[in-house]
Amino acid sequence: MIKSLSSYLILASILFNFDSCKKSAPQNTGKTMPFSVGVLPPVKNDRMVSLLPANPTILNPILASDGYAGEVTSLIFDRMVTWNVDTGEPEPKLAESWSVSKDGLTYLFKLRKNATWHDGKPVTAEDVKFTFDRIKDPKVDAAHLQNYFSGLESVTIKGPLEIEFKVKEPYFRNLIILGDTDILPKHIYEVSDFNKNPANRAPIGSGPYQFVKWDSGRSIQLKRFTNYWGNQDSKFKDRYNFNEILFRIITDDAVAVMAMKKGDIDVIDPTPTMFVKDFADPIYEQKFYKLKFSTEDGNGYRFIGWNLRSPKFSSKKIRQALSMSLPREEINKKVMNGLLTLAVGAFPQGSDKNDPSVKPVPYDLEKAKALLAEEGWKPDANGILTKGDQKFNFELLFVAGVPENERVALIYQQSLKAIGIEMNIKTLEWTVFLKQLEENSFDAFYMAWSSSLDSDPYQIWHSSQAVKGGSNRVGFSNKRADEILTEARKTLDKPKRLELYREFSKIIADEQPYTFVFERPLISIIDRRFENVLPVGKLGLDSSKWFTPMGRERANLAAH
Amino acid sequence: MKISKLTIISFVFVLCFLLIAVFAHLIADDSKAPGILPIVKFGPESTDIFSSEILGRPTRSHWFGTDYIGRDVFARLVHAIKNSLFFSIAVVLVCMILGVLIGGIMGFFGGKIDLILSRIVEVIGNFPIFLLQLTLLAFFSQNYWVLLFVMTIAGWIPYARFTRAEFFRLRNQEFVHAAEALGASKFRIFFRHLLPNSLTPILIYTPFDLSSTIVVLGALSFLGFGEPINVASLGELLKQAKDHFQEAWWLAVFPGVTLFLLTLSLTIFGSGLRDYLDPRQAE
Amino acid sequence: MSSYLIKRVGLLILTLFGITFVSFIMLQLAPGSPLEMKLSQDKSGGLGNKSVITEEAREQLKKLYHLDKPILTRYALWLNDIAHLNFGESFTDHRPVIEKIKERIPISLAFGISSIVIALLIGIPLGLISGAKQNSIWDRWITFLVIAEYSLPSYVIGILLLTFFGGGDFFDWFPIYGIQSDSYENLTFFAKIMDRAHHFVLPCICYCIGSLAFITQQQRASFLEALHQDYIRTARAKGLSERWVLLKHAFRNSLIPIITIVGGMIPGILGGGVIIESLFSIPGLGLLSYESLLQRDYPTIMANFTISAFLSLLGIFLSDICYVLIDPRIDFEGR
Repeated sequence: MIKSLSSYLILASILFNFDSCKKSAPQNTGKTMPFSVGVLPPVKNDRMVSLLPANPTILNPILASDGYAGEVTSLIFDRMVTWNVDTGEPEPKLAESWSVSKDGLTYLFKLRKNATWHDGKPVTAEDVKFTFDRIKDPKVDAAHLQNYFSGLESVTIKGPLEIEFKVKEPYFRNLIILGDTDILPKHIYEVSDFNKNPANRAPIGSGPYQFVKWDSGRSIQLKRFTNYWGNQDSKFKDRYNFNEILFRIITDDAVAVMAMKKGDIDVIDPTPTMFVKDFADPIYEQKFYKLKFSTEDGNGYRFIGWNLRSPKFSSKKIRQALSMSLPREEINKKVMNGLLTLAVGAFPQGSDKNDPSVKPVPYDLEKAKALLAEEGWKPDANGILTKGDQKFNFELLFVAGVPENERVALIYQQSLKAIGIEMNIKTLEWTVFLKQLEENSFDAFYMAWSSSLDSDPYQIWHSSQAVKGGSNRVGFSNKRADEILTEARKTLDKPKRLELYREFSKIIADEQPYTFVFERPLISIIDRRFENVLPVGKLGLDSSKWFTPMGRERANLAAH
Repeated sequence: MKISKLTIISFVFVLCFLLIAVFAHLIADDSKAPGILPIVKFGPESTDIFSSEILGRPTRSHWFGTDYIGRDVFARLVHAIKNSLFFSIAVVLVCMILGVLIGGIMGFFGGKIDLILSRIVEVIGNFPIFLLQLTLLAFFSQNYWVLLFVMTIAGWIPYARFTRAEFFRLRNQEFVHAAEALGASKFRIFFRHLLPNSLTPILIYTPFDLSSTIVVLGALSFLGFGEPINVASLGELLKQAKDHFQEAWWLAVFPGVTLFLLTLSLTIFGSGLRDYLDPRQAE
Repeated sequence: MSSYLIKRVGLLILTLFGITFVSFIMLQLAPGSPLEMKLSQDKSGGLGNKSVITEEAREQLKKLYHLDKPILTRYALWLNDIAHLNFGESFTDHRPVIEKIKERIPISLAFGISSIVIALLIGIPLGLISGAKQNSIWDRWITFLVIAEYSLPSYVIGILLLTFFGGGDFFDWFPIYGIQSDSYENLTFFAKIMDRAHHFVLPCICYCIGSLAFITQQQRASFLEALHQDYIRTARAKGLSERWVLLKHAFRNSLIPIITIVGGMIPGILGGGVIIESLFSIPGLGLLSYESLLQRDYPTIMANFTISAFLSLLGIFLSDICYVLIDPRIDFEGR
């Protein structure tokens, strides 16, 4: 009843308040960039406010297992190597250079001389070794990370600023694993039990921003680190343009949207529904950058995994038929305003890792019926698919609480009903869901994989991973796919590796161990008072380049 | 004591809701079973992504519009009334039976049994119960049995308290002593003499309990922890309304008004009943 | 009196013991565990070169979280810690749990107490008017409005308030999240109070909703009951003025049942805050419990359950004592 009334009134308000809304929107913005970089100089005293949808558990990059902490700690801690957002190539950060031995087993990093921690002490090889030692330390509560570093053989200090890593086997992601890890100061964290160190709530790093204050459950405040080595470096001099970064914690989506519209927040990572519905009004087009972009590795994808160990789904034809019965194109068009991209397989559409012949599976109920009939599943008098005295029914598991997933599942249920398959839906809480998958007690599940820099599909598809605790939860096993995955890991030459992956993508598309649903979109909404947001780089957005031109600072806007 | 007009109106409303619930399948259904000619030819779950409109406005065929995957809101609402009402009645009945029995035992036997059971009542009564409900619902998959269990954990407590107090009051009354003197069995005294005479406060409490059960059930479904997601329920419809606040007023208005009327008529009916049955509170 | 007190305290401890035992066992037997939570890394699963999580890694983690002992032993250990007022260490950030709770409890209590006080300040006069002018048009309207307001769930009211009075589409009168402004630290003492009050308005209304109807109805009923007591008739017979009779005798005596109700409202405020706290981004106890539940942070959940139960038992205990002290007719020895 409340809602009823309010939504009536909201409609009315949109009609009546149209003019006032227009006035309140900054008038100097429009679809074209109103300021060219040369006209108004950037100011360096502004504050950027980001949204965090929950209170991070801990601000230690090794211990934190939630995604929110990473958004904060990535500004406080620096890494040895960074990947250039525009070119996608590795570039020196804390390490000024590095070299790899011919056999690909030894990595030698040379650290920068002028890098210091926020307390003034210099960054040394000791700190790097300390960081990697802690990750591998069983007493440290980092079980979720330890696994990723199992290929690391040893870490040796070669000089005050030189450090050598030995790895167990050549692997194309070795540089990422070693270079893209937050480095922690030894002198801060060695003084007490690592898990309980006070710095876990008031971190000290060597990154461009230093920690100021954490009001638990409300906000986290950072300020620019004035002695950051990058301030004198030609490459990083014009980066990190905000004097202060505030992370505001707002736990309700609808309230976050209101706060964004009021101008309390500058940046939001919206859900697809927020993107297409809550910010649909053209007014917001003028007020915010509404960005949808794509990157080489994408943002992962949603899928329905079939339990290949179950006789119902062991046949490739049945899985193809099930994939054909999901009207993805129509869901995207009608429900998501065409925002989403259909997933084609293990890699994003348009990626070089995909074979050009790999296309989204089309919706085709007739063909699906024919394929099912070939496998012996025929409709009975009531239109229910049966084989002998067995009926075609199964249960789809998924994690409760995401309306976008619920829609897909409910529409799929109706679509399958039309061809005589009964799909039951069971929603579960995340850890319970994982437990069921681990115990292998499922028919099908709906989930998503996220991707990272230069993703390696080995973890998901190699048959050695199809055991308890592994990520190949559907039990996929294909001899040629195994060969390719093992080979590709050792292939440091990128074009050769891409070729292997293209062959792999064809196998997956044909086998359909998953029904690939949608790619997870890369979307963002950013206040137009910032400049240099566009163009979006090869690896995505780079907030370190953004700046506020004079006159559009937060304080100025508030004064109006 | 005269029964007020408001009480009668609210009773009519309650009756109407009950009728809608009982005849839900005659009002809105898509099954082609012979002999049934529903008024609206949509079921609560039927949708076809190709032909239905997503979040469609109310039209001549879809009286209350369509929801976020193209289901008919009228059909969903009718079945939501059925599901919410029937399930809440089941919850209230289970709570009542459990509460009356336990409360009766406490009041009847007194002494140690009463002391022990009173502790249990106190333990459950002092639990942060909504948190506990969320915990259980989050950890177990959503089905009606878990929901029933979760709703009854604390629901029986008030019934037990009322019955216990009434039993204590009646225990030493003349007619009970007389029955005992005549050699009536304990069982007979419990069920024939004490129980019928202690039902008044329970009867008064029931409509209020029913209305708050419907609200709590709505809150749980609203949070996504209630009924299974494909089942039509008031909370589920309101949750959709929250997600599509700006574009689909019909999702909010019709279920919202329904929930409000349902709980309001139950509460007013309950107050009327209380004034009628309990002379201590109304002259 | 003292023997009554001793008995009551004894029973209180016994009840608390029962609550902790039940919640401990239930929590640990529920499906899912902190192990899955920790090992799963993030909600969608990351693609890296993660290899199979070995049984050994799992055992190691179990040991780290002290989950390797049988459940009853763990309960005994936990109980022993509690007896020494040690609530253990959180699984998520390894802080002493008591610190996390200390951060949150003042916020929850501030909201709880202020909303009870407001509900009392509004509800008691409404109930009095309603009762004094029984069956008048006033009585009918107050009863109807209070019941109507009670029929609206607090989550619905919350969204309504946010949209109308804070969202900016209609009025931009109140803040929509948090408990204080960013500039709070720099404000004067008086401005600080005003700032807090400004943030408290909308959530407090939501908190009040549930208890207001209850208090009004209760006050009306107990006032009516008091009016029909013998001593009121006597007072009237003695020729005391009607107003004096109503205020001095009936009103004072009708307040006694309200005291018990207030005690009983505490668990609702501590536990039922989840929805309102998450709607208004208030870092209170309810939100902490809910987050810890989803993260399977057993020590924090247990501490929450224990402290909430303790506070609500204490509330009832104190209101009982007040009851006994105020109403000389009640014989506490006999209870």
